[in-house]
Amino acid sequence: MQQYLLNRVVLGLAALLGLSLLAFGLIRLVPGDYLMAQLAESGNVADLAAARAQLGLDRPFAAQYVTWLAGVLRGDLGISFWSKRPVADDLLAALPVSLQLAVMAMLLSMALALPFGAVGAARRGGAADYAGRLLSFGGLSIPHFWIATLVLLYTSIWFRWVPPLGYISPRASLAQNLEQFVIPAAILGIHLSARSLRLVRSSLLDVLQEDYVRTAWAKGLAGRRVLWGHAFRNALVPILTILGSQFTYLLSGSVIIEDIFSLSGVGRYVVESITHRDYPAVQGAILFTGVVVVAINLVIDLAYAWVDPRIRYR
Amino acid sequence: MKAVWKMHALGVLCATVVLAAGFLAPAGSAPAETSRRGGILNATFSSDPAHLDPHRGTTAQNFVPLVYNGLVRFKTGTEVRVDEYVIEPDLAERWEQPNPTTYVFRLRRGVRFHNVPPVGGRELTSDDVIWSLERMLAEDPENIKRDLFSVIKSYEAVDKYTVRIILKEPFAPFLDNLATVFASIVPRAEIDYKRVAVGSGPFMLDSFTRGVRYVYKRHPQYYESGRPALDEIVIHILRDFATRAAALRAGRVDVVDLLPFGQAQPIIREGGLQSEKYQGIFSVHARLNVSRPPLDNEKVRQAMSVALNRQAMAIALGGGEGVVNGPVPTGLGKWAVDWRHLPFFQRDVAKAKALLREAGFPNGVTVEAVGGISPDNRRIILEAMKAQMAQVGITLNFRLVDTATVQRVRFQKDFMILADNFTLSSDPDSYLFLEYHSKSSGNVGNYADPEVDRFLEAQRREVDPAKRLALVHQASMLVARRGWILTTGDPIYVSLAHPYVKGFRHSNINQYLPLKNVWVDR
Repeated sequence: MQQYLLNRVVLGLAALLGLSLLAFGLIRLVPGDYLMAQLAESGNVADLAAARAQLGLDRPFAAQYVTWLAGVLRGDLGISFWSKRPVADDLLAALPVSLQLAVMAMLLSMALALPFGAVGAARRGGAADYAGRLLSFGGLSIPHFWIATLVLLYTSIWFRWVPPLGYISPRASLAQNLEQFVIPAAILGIHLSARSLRLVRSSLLDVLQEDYVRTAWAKGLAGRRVLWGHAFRNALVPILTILGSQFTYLLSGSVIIEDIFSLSGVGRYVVESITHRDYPAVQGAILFTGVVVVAINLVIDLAYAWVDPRIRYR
Repeated sequence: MKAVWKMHALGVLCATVVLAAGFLAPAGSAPAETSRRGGILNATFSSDPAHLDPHRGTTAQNFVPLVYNGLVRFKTGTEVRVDEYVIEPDLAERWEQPNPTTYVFRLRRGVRFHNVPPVGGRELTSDDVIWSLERMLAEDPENIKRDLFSVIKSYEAVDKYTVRIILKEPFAPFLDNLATVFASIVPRAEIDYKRVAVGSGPFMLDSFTRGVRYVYKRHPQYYESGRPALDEIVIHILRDFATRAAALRAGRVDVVDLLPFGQAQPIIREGGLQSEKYQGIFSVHARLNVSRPPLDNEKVRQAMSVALNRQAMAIALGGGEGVVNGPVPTGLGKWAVDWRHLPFFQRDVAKAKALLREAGFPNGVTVEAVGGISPDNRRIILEAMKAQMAQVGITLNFRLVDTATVQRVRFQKDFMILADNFTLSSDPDSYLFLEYHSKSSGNVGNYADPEVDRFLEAQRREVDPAKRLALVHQASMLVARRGWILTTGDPIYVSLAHPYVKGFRHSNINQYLPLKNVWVDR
């Protein structure tokens, strides 16, 4: 187990090193840069050279990369070109928003996917199965940003109400915080549950065909016990896998929902940073997301053994 | 502001006239109403500033006019029209101009900075003005508005309350430039102006969370008696239009400004809100790069100009109501020439074809254009141009790219046609000299014509307003004839507010400065 963990950490670090190089290099290949965006109005080429030197962008690529990486290893992600603030501070400010949205959406997604998927598999062709499949098709085929826009439009017209603007931390006001997050989390949760529901259903359908399940039925166990006690746990491995990828998607990929509900999360930070060609911010945010992906995948891998004791780590 | 201006569609041709009449109508607020102290106003803006320094970059310009004062300012409030730009005293209670190149500003006494460290509410003096001038003229790559003040030859503090500024040459737009946020007077102190905004303005920036909100509190020692009325202003960062509209309906925000007519119309129809229409000064256009054939041929450019149906484009831009702009936008009032009198501005397909033939292109030409993907007005004008030019034999291919790429293209002059809008200014010099003078850094289309240069130089040196107006009009006619920049139009904009919001009227130059006049009567 320890050897496995060590291997995974080493592999994870190698992946992050590769990611850092990609993040550092690719954003520089995108046409246009921060300085041109800033100085285009002045039109002064001499200013451009001076500004490049000021930001250290006149140094060779390798030297810039090593300097940045050394900073990262010391816990310093650099200073944003755009906001002139430490990138780490900006990311830490955006993180609670994305984290809360992701956790709430995931919880809701699972609260819908697990019962609907399980019941759908256990009573295939029944009313609950059809309801679950309908929810799934709807969630997959209707764009969530469209639903979000409609919800905002009609709650404002019919009820003269929209969620509070901007992020309000739960410590400042739990009620207002929930008022703010419930709708976006519900929209994202329903959207995500569509995929999870199908996966839960199909995984369970596979497992329900297994011999040991037939044996459990033959022993005369109650249906609920067979489903939740024997079959469900064995169907969890693929579900855990998709949970991991959904969480990392939510953490940095819910940009449109963040925009519509005026929540300033990591996704919005990344998009704005790319727009401004804010190299330190883009590099920092991508690396940060990479760390989260590596960590979540490690946790999910470890969780496999908890779910299925047959899995051994070597 | 009880009354709501309502301009119904009276036909495209008279849209401009109708609009002008609308602006001449009595202001909406009843004079008998007196402002009531207290209350909070919620407003919105679409993006964060990069930082808060008014002398570096341009993104702070919408966030700090409430915090700082200038020596002079543009008059705001319901008593001035949106298309008039009246300079009034601000920190300088008066000024003299003993000769065309010398200005002597007499500062108000007893003006206090905000009572926060390290300034601690001390009195503003000429030393702070000198410090601010040093910052405005600093050789710093980020000081991209330095050109506004580069005409200054020298400056000195004559005494504690008097500042003398001497110009290199007479410069008509000088006071207008001093009224911009880029000439804000900041305190001489050890401050990181990018992170901290401490001024003498009507509001103090109390707190802000990037991407979320900016909270301003009333400056209790503000020099104007009875101002500001509000205790607090909160500016919410809402990027999405639908979110802004929903927040307005739900009362989460009290005022939303600068909405194109087409977007505001459905909300106006719902009722319950006061609205006001006005002309903006963005003026979307297509810059032609005359170093790229066939755009080096004046007749080709003129053919492109007469191929355009500018009225249709303006209406498309506004989503129902728009205004055609010449070289100087119609929103600049008297400085603009009526577009119907400008050469090569009326659509004429036969004339366009004839011009192409005369230019040696009887089979038409193919040109390439580029524009930013945001805001959407670039796409609108490029699509319209493509369709309209196709009818005269000009094939226009265009691509939309992101903002940073547009800036690169502009900076490196790496384009044939660039869809763009002008830098906002109250003075025609910005739309003329900056864009067309052969030596201007803003001339990205490689325009060079000694005759045009002479007019452009003359209008900025002319201090007699009537003579300058004539020169500006002549210069506008001349550059329209050259066909260098194909100006199109602007939407009619709308500001929307709840009925309890009093005293608000948009300003084309400082979008949030008018909030200092606002009070709420809930």
